[in-house]
Amino acid sequence: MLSMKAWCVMLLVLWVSACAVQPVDTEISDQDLIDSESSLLTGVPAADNLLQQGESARQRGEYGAAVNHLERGIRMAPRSPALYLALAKTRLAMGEYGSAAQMAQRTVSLLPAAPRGAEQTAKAEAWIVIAQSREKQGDTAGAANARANAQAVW
Amino acid sequence: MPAKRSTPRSGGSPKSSAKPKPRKSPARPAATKKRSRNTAPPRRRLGALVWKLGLVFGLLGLLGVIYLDAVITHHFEGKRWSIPAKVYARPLELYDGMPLTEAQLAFELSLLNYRHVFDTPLSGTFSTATGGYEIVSRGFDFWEGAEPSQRVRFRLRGGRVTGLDSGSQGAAIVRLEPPLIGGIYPAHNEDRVLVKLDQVPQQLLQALLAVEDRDFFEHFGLSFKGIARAFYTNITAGEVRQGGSTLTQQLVKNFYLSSERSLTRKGVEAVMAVLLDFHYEKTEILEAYLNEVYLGQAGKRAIHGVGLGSLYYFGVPLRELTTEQIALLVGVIKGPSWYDPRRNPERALERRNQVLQIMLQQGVLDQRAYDQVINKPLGVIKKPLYEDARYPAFLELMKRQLRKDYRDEDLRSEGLRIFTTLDPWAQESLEQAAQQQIRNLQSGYGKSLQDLEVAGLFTSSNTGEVVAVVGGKAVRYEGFNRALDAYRPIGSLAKPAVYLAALEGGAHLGTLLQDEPLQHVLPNGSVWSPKNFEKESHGEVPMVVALAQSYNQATARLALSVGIDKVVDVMARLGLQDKPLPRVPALSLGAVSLSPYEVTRMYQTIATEGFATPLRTIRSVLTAEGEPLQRYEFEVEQRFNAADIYMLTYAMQETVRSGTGKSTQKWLSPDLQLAGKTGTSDEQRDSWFAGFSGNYLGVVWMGIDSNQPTPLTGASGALPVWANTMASLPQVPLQAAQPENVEWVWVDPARQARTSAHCDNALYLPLRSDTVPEDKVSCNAGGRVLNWFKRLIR
Repeated sequence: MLSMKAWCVMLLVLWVSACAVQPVDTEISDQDLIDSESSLLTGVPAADNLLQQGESARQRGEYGAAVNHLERGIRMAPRSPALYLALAKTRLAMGEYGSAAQMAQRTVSLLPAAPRGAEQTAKAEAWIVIAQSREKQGDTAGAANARANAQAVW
Repeated sequence: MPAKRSTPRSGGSPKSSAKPKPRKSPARPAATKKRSRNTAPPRRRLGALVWKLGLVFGLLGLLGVIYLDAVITHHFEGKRWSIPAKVYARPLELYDGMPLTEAQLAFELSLLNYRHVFDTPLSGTFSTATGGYEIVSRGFDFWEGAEPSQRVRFRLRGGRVTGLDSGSQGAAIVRLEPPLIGGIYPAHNEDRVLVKLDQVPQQLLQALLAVEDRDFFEHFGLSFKGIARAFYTNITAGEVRQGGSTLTQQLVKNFYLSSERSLTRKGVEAVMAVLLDFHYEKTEILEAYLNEVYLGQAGKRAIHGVGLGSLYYFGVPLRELTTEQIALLVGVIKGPSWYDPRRNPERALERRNQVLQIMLQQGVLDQRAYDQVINKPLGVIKKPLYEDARYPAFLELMKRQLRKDYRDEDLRSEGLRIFTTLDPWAQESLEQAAQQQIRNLQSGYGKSLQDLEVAGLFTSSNTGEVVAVVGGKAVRYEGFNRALDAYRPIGSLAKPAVYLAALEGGAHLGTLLQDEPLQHVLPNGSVWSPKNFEKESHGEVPMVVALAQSYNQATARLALSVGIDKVVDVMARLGLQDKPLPRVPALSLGAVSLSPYEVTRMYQTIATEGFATPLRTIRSVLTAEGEPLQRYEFEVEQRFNAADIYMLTYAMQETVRSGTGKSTQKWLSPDLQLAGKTGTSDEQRDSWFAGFSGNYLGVVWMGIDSNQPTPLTGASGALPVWANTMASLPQVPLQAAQPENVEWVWVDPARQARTSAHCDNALYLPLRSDTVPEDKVSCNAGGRVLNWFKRLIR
C-alpha cells in the first residue's frame, strides 16, 4: 500500500507527463481519494478556506463537520467544482455511494468539456468517485464506463 | 402581594387599556374553624377530644406538607418549562469579495438591532467613523460549535466587501448571529429564552432584589421583615404600594398555583415557599424565577423570563442591557400590562425612574451613575424584533418540512433551535416588489383588480435553498398561503417541458415548427384547436423562436409529434413525480394546475442543469443545549442529460433577450444572461413568470382567488415582481458550463443544414453533437424564415 504522499507524487508525475503516458492508472483506492486534497481552487479565498477546512475534517474522519464546511463554501462559490468534488469524496467516505456518485456527476457537469491542469485532475477524480461508488452498488458495467471516462480525461 | 400574570401586581389603580382582570377582593377564609358544640363537657373528655382533634389535624397537615413537598420536588427537578422551538434565518457571512450593498448591510444590522456608535464599538454595535465599517459581532453557537464575538473591519466597494480584517490568519470569514424569525409555541403560548444565572448581568440581579425581595439571601422562603415593611409602607401611603411576597413565593405561585386569590392559597403558597427554600439553593430559585417571570404579551404569545424580555423590549441579549434598560425590565415585573412601555410609555418611564431611585437608595447605583441615566429615554425598540408573524409564508413551508421529521409536541416543548435558509434581504425584496406591483396595477386598472393577489418563491438557484416566500399581498397574514396552496393553471410555463422532450428525442433548436392553426380530434370526439395569444400565425419558425415568442400553435404541434406521454414524463422528472398529470394535449400549453411551489421545483431542476435538487428550508436543527441533532443535507440527482438542459436554457435566455420576457431589461442588465419564461392562462386569469440567473431562481404568480379574468399577461403582471426582486439581489451572470456533447454551430433553419457565420439566415445555436446536420450549405437568400427573422431581430 502506497502512502498518500507517494500517491500524490505519482499522480503529479502522471499529470506532468499526461499527454505522453497512456493509459493512466485510474485504480485509486477509496482511502487515497478520501485522503487527497484538491489542487483546484474556488476563486473565492473564503470558500478556499472552507474547502481546506472541509478536506482536513474529512481526513480526520469528521464527516459531519466536513459536509458542513463544504456546504458553507458552496454558498459562497455555488458553481465551484472543487467544492462539489470534495463533497462527493466525503459522501464516499461516509459510505453514501448513491449520493457520492450524484455529487461527482454534478462536479463533472460544472467542469469544462476540455479541462486543463487542476480541472483535469478534478474531472478524472470525479469519474473515479463515480466508478468506485457504482462498484460498491454492484453496477460493474457502469463502473467500467466511468473508469473509461476518467481515462479519457487525459 | 404576589405577582399576577397580566395584571399589575400591586400599587396604583390597575385600569390599563389592556383590560386587566378585575381584582377579586381576597376571599374570606373558606371554612371557619369548628367550635365544640358541647356546652359543659367533663374536663377529661374535652381534653381527650382536643388531643385527638389536634392529632388528626396535625396528621392531615403533615400529609399535606408531604404532598406539597412531592409536588415541589417533582416539578422543580423535572422539565420545568415547555420551551418553544426557535427558528432562525440564515446568518450573514462576511468575507472578501462577498456581494453586499450599503442598503442590505444597513437592513441586516437593523434586523439584528446593532447600534450605530461613534466611538470604538463593543459587542452588538458598529461604527462607520473610519470611512469603512467596524462591526463587533455578538457571537453565537452554530452547528459546528460556538463562534465567539469578533471585531471586523471592512469596506464596501462596487457592491462587494473588500479589505476584510478580523485579526485572524488567512481568508477571514465572520458570521453575524442569525436573526430570530419565529417560534413554534406550546398550547399555552408561553414563550421564553432560557438563561443561566451567570449570563444575567450583576446589576439586573441587584436591581431585582432591591425592588422585589431585599432579604432574599437571608430569609427562609418567607420574609416577615418584608411583610412588615410592605405593611408599613402601605399604611403610611394609604394605598397598596408594596407587596410583601418574597421571590420564592412569587415563583411558587406562578409555578404551581392558580391565580386564585384566597387565604387558603396564600397559606399553601407560604408552606410551599418554605419547602422550596429548604430543598434548593437560593441561586437555583433565583435562576428559576428569572426564567419564569411574566414580562409582557405579544398577541397570543406570553413573554416569560428576562432572556426573552430583553429581546422583546430592547432587541438585544441580556448582557448588552444598559442600566436604564435593566431598571425598566425590573420595573415592568410589577405589572407588564399596566407598565407596558410601548403602550403606556409615560407610566413606564415613571416606574423605571422609581426603580432607579430604589437602586440608588439601596446602593446598587451611586449618585453619579444615577444622574447619568435618570434622564435617558426608555430605549425600547419600536417593534419587537422577535415577531413570530413576520414571515408567515416561509415559516409555514418550513413547518411542513419539519413535521415530516419531528413530532409536534417536541417542536413545541423541547427548545429546539432550527436554522433555516431564509434570506431576510431577499424576503424583504420580494415582499416590496410584490406589494409595489399590486399598487401599480391597482392604480392603473382600478376596481377590476381590487382583489388581485400575488405569490412567489425564490431560491438559491444552485442549491435549492429557499430564500424567500410570499403567500399573498398581505405578507404578514398567517392565512391562505398561495405559494403553497393555490393551484392554478400554469399556461406557457409548461412549454419548456415540451421543448425538452423534443430535444431529448433528437430535435434541435433550429428544427422548424409549423406555427399554423390546427384541429386535433380528441378521443372523446371533441376538437382541440389552440390559438396564439395575438391570434396570428407565423408560418415556419425554428424551435428557439417558437419558445422565445411562446407560440401556442407551434408548441401544440410539437407536443403532438413528440407525444404527450413524453411531455408528462419530462414534467415528472423535472420535479412533479408525485403529481397526477392529465395526459391530454392541452397539458403542453399549461392545462394543469400547479402551486408556485411545484412550479419552482420544476424550474429548479432546469436551473441546476438537469439535476433535481430538493427545495430546502432547513439547514440544521440543534437541541436546546446546542447539541447537533439533524442536518438537512444538500442532495442532487441527475434527471436529464446536461446537453439537453443546456440547449433548453439557451432558448429560455433567448426568451429574456428577445422574446416575451424582454421587458426584464428595464430592471436587469442583459449581461446577466437571464433565462426565463412567461406564462398566461386562458382569459388571462393567471399571470406567471419563472426565471433564473447564475445564483437565484424565482417564480411569481399573480391572479384573483375567485379566478376572475384579468387584463394581465405574464409579462405585465408577474414579470415586474420577479425582475424587481432580482434587481435588488446581488446577481451572478448565468454561464452554464458547455457540456462535452454540445457544439455551437451556424445553422440555416430553412435548409436544415450547417452554414457560414456571415450568412443572413444563419442562426448560431448550441446543438447536441448527434443532432448536428451533416450537410453544409453556402449562403442562400430568401425563405420565410429569413424574412421572419429580419422582422424579428433587425
